[in-house]
Amino acid sequence: MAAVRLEQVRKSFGPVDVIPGIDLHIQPRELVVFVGPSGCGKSTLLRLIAGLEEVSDGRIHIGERDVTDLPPAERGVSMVFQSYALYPHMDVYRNIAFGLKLARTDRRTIDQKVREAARMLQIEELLRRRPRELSGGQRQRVAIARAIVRDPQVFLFDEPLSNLDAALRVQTRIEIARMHQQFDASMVYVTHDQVEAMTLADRMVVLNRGRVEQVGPPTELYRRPANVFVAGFLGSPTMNLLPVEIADGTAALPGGGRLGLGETPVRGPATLGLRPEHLRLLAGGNAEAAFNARLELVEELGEARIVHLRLADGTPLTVRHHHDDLPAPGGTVAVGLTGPHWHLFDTDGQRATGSD
Amino acid sequence: MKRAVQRAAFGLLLAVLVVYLLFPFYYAVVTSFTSGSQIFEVHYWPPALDFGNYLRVFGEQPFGRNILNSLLVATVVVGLSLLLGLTAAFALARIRFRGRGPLLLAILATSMFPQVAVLSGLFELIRALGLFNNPLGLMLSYLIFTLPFTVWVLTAFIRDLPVEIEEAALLDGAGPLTLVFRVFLPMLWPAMVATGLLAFIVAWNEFLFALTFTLSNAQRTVPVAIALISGGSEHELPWGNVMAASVTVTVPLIVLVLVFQRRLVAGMTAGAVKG
Repeated sequence: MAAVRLEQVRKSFGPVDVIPGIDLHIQPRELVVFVGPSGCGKSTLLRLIAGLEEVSDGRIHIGERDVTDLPPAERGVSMVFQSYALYPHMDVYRNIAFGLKLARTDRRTIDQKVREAARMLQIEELLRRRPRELSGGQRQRVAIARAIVRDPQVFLFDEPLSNLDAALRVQTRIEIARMHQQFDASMVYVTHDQVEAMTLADRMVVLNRGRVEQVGPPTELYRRPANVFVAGFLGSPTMNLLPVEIADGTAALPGGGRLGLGETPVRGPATLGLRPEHLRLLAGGNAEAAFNARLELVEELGEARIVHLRLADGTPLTVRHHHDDLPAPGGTVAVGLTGPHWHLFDTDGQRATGSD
Repeated sequence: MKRAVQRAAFGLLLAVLVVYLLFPFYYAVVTSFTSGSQIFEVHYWPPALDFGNYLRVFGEQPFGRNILNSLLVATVVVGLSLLLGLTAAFALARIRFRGRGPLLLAILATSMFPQVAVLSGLFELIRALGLFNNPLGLMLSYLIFTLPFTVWVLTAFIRDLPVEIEEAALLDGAGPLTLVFRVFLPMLWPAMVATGLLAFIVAWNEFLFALTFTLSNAQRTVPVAIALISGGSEHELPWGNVMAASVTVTVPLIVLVLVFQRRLVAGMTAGAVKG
């Protein structure tokens, strides 16, 4: 059980600042997910914690120890790689045991630990097989078992599910969540998949261009995004972000529509964020709380439909719609809010106000 | 009908190629079983299975000793080449350091000079080291040709190994030596076998250095010994003995290739697919 503390951690590759400086505290037993678009520095940050990259500046602490200058093996971390990274010439047993063997653990302890980990991950029958004789899901289990036997203080996961097919991904995700409940170790998990991030995380760290955009529990990030980037990154389909003019609690939408928001301290130009699930199509009337849009395309999801609309000036808008009654494409519909769910961002993209 | 003709034509073409490739070696075998003046008649079949030439080769000079010399030199050269090549290739492929590119090119450049160009300089070097007429001198000088291609081929192979495996080993606590010998080496066997065999063949067949750096019959390696086989008079070249010796020394190579055949082919295709 150990906390991870990053203090002003900076990483540059030559002249390129990949991570310009990050402070982050990961609590003991916490599962923190780094999420962000590709190239945002999330994997680099994980590799800095692992010790596979050297920091350009700043300190990294794991538990009470400053591990900044320690080699990976002495940091008390285990890592699960996207490509599994099993040793192809060793069978499953020796793959799992390799780290313990290098640490000169006695043979009986090794055997006991390997079998325990194998039982936990249900790979006992595979111990004598080589990695190439295993399926992707089995390989990932072996990789996780290899991480477990080292009794790490921190587990590091680098997109561990990306190479698995959809069904296995869900199954392995649940397994990792279960592992998190079972072990005392902290976990740091990197992914670009927001569903993985939302479902697994105690806290999420949204990264963009090497900077932390927001840190917090998934629901908080979803309900109260700190800025336009987080607002647009989380949620599927993505939040509608409309350039508006605010005056007297009413937003003037692009294309001439108006939407009453009620009391708000914001005035002048701003960005209005509306989640597709917080919008609804109105049968008619109630012009006060609605604006018109042209229906362009409908995507059927089964339990709902994603309706793609355009405002009078061509600005796109998506609505998650739960009913059957829909006009034909090309028709005009009235759009309103399902409740007081909206977000306002100032001209710098920072959250100004909103009601979740 | 047309297909049959095509197949027959293809078969004929193959037959011609095979005969062209194998006939010289076959004729050497036939000659090695022939003695006396029969050698100067054309035989496509040995007139008699006469092992006299083989007995004379081993009887009239220390040919067994020569073979042992060659085996010793070639084996040590292969071992040193692979050991130095593997460790150097690891550094060149995986460790970032200043001057890595130029160093790789310099290694390649050493194999570009014709042997004769370095012969006299190398001779001085070997004499200064006191290794003249000593198998150690040959081993040292053969590394000049075997190391560049060993280093280059192994570097290319190590570059193609997934970086994550190396990183997983680092997290498992592997130091550089463990990494090279317990993680990389087992994955590199095909490349090691292929380069090792090539190095063995080069060292086994080398003539010029072996001729220059040895003096006594007992220190000679096989190619020189064969070239210096002489007959009863200076006007007689004992073709029978020469052929018997040549056939004898080809056998170890064939055996080696057969033993490592599967791994060799695996190495070739692995290299081909990975580029």
